[in-house]
Parts: sequence; C-alpha cells; structure tokens
Amino acid sequence: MKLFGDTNIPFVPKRRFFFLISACLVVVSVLLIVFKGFHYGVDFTGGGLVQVRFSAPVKIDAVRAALTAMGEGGASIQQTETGDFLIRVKPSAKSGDESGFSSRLRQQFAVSFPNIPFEVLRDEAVGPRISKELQSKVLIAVLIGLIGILIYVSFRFDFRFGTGAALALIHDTLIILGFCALFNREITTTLIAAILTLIGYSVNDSIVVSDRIREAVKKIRKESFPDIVNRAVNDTLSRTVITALTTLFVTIALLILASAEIRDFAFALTVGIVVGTYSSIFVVANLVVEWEQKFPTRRRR
Amino acid sequence: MLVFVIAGVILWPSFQLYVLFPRQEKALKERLSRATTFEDSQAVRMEINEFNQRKGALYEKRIVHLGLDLVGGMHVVLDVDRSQLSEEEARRAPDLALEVIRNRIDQFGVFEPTIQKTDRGRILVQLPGVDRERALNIIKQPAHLTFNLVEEKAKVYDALKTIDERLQAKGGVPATVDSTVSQPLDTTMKEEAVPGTLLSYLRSEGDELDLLIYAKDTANFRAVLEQGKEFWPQGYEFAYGPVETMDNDKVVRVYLIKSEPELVGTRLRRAEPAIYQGAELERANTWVVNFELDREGAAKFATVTGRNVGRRLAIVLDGVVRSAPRIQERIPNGRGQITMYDRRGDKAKDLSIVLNSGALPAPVVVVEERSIGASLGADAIRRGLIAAAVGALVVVLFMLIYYGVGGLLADFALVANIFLLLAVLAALRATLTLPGLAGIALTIGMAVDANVLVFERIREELRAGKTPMAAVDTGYARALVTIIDANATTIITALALYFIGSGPVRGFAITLGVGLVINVLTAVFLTRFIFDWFLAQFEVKTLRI
Repeated sequence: MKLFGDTNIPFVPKRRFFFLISACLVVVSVLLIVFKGFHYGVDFTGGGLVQVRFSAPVKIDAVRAALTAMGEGGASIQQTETGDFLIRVKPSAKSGDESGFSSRLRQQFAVSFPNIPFEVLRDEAVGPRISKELQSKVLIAVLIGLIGILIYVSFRFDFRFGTGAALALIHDTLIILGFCALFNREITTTLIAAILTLIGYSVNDSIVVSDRIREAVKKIRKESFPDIVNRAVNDTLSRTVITALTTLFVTIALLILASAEIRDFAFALTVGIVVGTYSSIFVVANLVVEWEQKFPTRRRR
Repeated sequence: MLVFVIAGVILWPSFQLYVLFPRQEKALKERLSRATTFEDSQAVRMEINEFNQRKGALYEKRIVHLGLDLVGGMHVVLDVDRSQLSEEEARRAPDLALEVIRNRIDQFGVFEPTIQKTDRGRILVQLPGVDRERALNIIKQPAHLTFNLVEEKAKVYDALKTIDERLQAKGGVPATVDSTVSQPLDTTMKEEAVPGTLLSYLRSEGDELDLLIYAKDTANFRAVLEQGKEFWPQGYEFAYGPVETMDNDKVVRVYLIKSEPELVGTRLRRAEPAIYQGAELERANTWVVNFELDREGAAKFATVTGRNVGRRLAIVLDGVVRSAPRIQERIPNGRGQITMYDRRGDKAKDLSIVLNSGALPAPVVVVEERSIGASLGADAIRRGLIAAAVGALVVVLFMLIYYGVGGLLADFALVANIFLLLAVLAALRATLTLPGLAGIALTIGMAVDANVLVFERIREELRAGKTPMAAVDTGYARALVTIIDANATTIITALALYFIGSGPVRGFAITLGVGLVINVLTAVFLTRFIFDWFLAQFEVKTLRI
C-alpha cells in the first residue's frame, strides 16, 4: 500500500505562500503568549495544589466556604470532569513549611464535611526557593538542548542547515506555546519535557530532509538548486508523513485515553508533531533555498 | 538471540513482582478475611509475613521500579532550619537529620524508601504507599523530650486571673481578640468572667485535675496569653496538652510548668508501645508508650522524683505536655509512661519510633512535596497502559497494512524494542514514572521510524530496478547515516532533560534515551539480519514492500 506515489508537489516554488502561513501562525502565537499568557503550574509559581475526591457529590460553594473558614478564601477551586476538586493556593509569604496547607485542609474538610468521606488524591507543594531553582534548571536544560542540537547539525551538515533547523525549531516552539496559551494548558516541568522532546523530534524530521538535499546536491548537477530541494522534499514526503502518523497514533491515544495528568503532555506532543512535520516539509528546506538565493555558495564538488 | 534470553532473565523478577505477586497477595488477604478461628488467622499471618519477606527480597534485585506517581506515596524535600544553630552544628545538621530520619523510617516499615541528601543540604524522602499524615508526623517530629514540674490547678487559675486583671487595668481586653467565638457552657466557676478574658475561655470541670479550654479557642486563648506575657509568674511558662475528646467536646489542657526543665535532652534507652494497665477506667484499652532512660538519665530521674514526691511532673515532647503524672515515690530505674489517648495503637507506635531514633538536630521544614494517592496512581497506570496498548496496536496494524511483510518485520522489531527497553530499565534499576510511560509510548511511535526510513529507501531502490538483495543492501546503507543523525538530536535533548533532574522528568529522559538507542540497534542490526536471512532462505526474486 502507498499513500504517496511519485509526488511532485511544488513546495519550493510556492515557498513565499508557506512563509506567509508560518509568519501568521508565529505572530498569532506570540500575541497569544504576550496577551493571554500562560497558566503556570505549581512547579514554576510555587505554592500548593491539592486534589480531593469526595465520596458523594459536594457543591463547589461548600468547598469554598470550607476554605474561607480556614482562612484560605483566596484559593482557586476547579472541578475536574470526574468531579474531583483541584484547590490551588499561592505560596505563603513567609518561606516556611509547605506541607502545612494540605494538612490544615484535611482537618478543615473533616470538620466541614463530617459525613462525607474524602480522599486526597494528590498533594503538590513547592516552596518559592525551589520553584526559582527549577525555573533556572529548566532554562539551562532548554539552552543545553538547543545549543547541543545546533552544534550537532552545523557539524554534520553545514551552517545553513543548522540555522534553517534552528529557525524551524523556534517557529515550532512558539506555535506549540501559542497553542498551550490558547487552550489554557498548564505549564509544568512535564510540559517542558514534552517541548524539548518535540524539539528533538522536529530536528529529526528536518535532518532527514536535509540529508536528502545534501545527497541530491552531490548526485544531480543539471538541475537548479530549488528544483533539487523540491525533489528531495517530495522524495522524503512519504517517510515524513508516515513517521508523523505512527507517532500521532500513540500521542492521540494518550490524549484520549490516558489520565488527566498526562493529558497536557500528550496535547503538546500532538500539536508539536503536527507543527514539526509541517515545518520540516514546508519551512526548513525553503529557508535553505531562500538563503541560497540571497547568498549563493559555490556548489560543493 | 542470546540478548533476548539475557533480557528475559533480567525481567523475571519484575514480572514476579508486578504480575504474580499481586495475585498471591490478594489470595492471602482473602484467606485472612475468611479465617474464622484465631489459629487459622495466625497461620495465614505467618504466611503473609513470609510472603512480605520474599517481596522485600525482590526489591534487592534488578527490577523496574515504579515511580511514586504510579504506585502512590509521598515525595518530600526537607530543609533543616539552621537559623538557631552554630556554624559547626549547621554543617553537621543535614547528616545528623538524615541519620535520624533514616532510623525512624526503617522502623516505620516501608518497602524501598528513598532517603538521601540532595543539593544545598536538603534531604529527599520518598515513601511509596504510605499514609501522608502519619509519615509527615514521623519525619518532622523533632522529638525533644523534657521533664518539667507542674503547678497545681488552683495556682494556674490564680495566675490566669492575675493576668486578666493586669491586662484589664492596662486597657481592657485586647481588641484583636474575637470575643464572639465561644461562650462557656458552664459559668459556675467564673460568673464574673468578662467575655474575651482568659478565664472566660475555661471550661469548668470541677473534678478534672487540670484547667481545660475548648480546642477551637486555643488560638484566641494563646493570643491573649501572649499579650499578657509580662505578667506571667516568674520562672514559669504556660503549656498545653494534646487535643482530647471529653464528653463529645474537643478540649485542651492548660498547664503552668517551670521554665527550667528538671531533666533535658535525655536519650532514651528504649521506648515501646503497650496497652494501658493502670486503674483509670477511661484509659482502659488505650495505648501508652513505656520508656526507659539510659543510666545517666535514670540517675537524674531518681533524684528529681525523690526530691519532688507528691508534686506533678510533666513529660513534655516538642513543647506539648504529653502527660503530667503525680510523683508517688522516688523512681530509681528510670522507667516512665506516656499516656496517649490512642485506641488504635498507631500513635503509640509512631511515638515510640520517634523516641527510639533520637531527636532531630534542628526542626525540618518541607520545602517541596508531591504526594500521590494510591488510587490515583493505580488509575494512572491502568489508563496509561490502555492508552499505550491501543496506540501500539494501531501502529502495528498500520505497519502491517502499509508495508505488508516489511511491516511484520517492523512490528517484530517494535515488540523486541519494548522488551529490551524494559530489560535495560530493570538492569539500570531505573524508575518508571507516568511521563516515563508516555516516553515508552512515544518510543513505540518513533520506533518504526528507522524502519520506515529503510523501507522507503528500499522501495526507491526497487523502483530504480535493483534486485531485492541489492535494494536491501543499498537501502540499509543509505538509511543508516540518516537514522543515526536523526536519533542523535533526540538523544541530545534526552540528555538535556536528564539534567533538569526532577523525578518524573528524569524518568522520561531515561526511557526516551534508552528507547532511542535500542531503536537504532534493532532497526540496524535485528531487522537487517532477518531481512537478509529471509531473502537468502527463500531466494526471493521480487520483493514487494
């Protein structure tokens, strides 16, 4: 079976059109990030999160009343689709014991709902200092990852491809973040992990295309550079799409079937694979072509 | 082939632990609940004990550990509060605290706890499948034990009255106190008590040995007491007992104790929970903690008790008066008892653990906590596995339909991949977390990538008119470079993720990294090997993939 025969889709000739689409997506994403902003998880903001499941339905107002009674009226309460309550508090002003909120909450709930047994499914509490440390750790990890990839790609290919891949990366990351902002996904360390993985995945895709271009450039001398690139993209199209599909099968299965904690992660992966695949087909090679047209290098012998 | 046998051997203990043992455990528990006679249940208990030992032994082997987000349990990072310590003490404090906490947890009886020092002198504690509140109590209890002399009830009452009067003379009842909170039920003892004064909070109870206040008033009572601190009797301070239930009310005892303890920092030789044996009826069947002081402590204790016969001596643990028995006679052997008001025995057991393992060098505070309830973890595993299985199945079917025989080969490589990945994780004693599970799922999706690359190449070569043998040869040769380049970048990101280092993410990084390496190996060697064998064996003339 084949999804694609010998395709000859004019990706390269129509590159301006795809640049326009990408530019629009990036601009919208940046606007979303700047104006809508992110919903940061406890990891980054510090503070506490408690997930409580009652054995019988409880009104959200009753939960709020209980929280107000314990002096935490400012807590944010959210009810999940399974009826659990997610209760978040900001970090305590004075850095102290972070386990206190959950312990007090348990006591208060036992008093406020004496006849309704409840179970605390999840406690998360992160002190302000820890969250700061984590922020810098994540930043460092992302930088190490990006620089590592840039060095590797520049070393294995050349600087043009390296830059093309890096630009595509920034493009992908911004769009994924834009989607996260749009759909109010919580930014946690796990989500950062997803984004870093996608960076690897997207470069992976770009490399396959670049590899083909490099090989074609060596082999075919008659055609113009844009034509060679267009051929290379068409040749790898089948592989690019199939790999994306097989990976998407899994991430979509996770998105639909896995538990809520993994859903934001699966969401980012799903969006990221679509965007990453798009960018490796429509953006990376075209960037290289554009560069080549502006600053022609002599064909390597 | 050998690789798979080794992998199988490595995975056997994990298989026992996660597949066979839960069934046996369930069967044993059922038998225990069915057991009717004492002898029967004792026999089953023996078997359970033995079973637990075998289970414990398995954890020593190379197995895939399940992360806390999957089995439930608590993950806390503790920081030692070094503000009150000298430089020398502060330097040693984390190690001491680590030692004490380790001792306590060892006695608590948890399967495979993690207790280790992390950066900046913090202590990481991971306890799978424990009750959060109990575990926190055990970990954080400073366990500072003192013995202080206690004043009689009448004198405490007088002291409170004096403080009220002085405060009122100074400007009435402090405005910060919420005087509407509670009105005493019984006012016989303090008809004249103005609401908001200390005396107004007292719950009068003629025949009780101590003054009582309602537990809910403690904060208000303390606040007023603090404001009148300058009027406290010289050399004394107020202290409270634990919350007790009395006639359906939650109450707290108020004590006036000597600030200077008679005995301090005494190391106990031994502490153990026991059933109360004394004469007080209401304490029948409750648990107590019997303790025995070391020789030096016992000598001091003998002197103190000898000198104060007839007075009451408070046993104060971490600032809370646990009990205040009257000294009947000189106690020469250093033995004493702490009453617990505990019917189940948990509290007595936990306190014994804390007392036995010594005092923390300084208070510890929780700076980070991630606790997962067991049911949430079980739910996460179940749904994660279903999702991964469905995803894998779709991939397998897709490959079969799309590539035919080649797809079968890729699918075989996929299964081999997952098997080997689990074996390597077990060999590394790695921890499988929820994101790690997602990492495996992701590897499933990406595992076929290398094969797709190869197959697409072979298809092209076939189209160009090469023989199957030659096409396979060139296909693999050409794709190899690409495969390595492509996976190298993802491995770089996996390394970067590893450095973020927070538990779940690290688990993800490990599974992803290991998964990719295995991926490349199976795609390059395993499928190649089978492909060649297949072509040679059947002398394939035309290849359709």
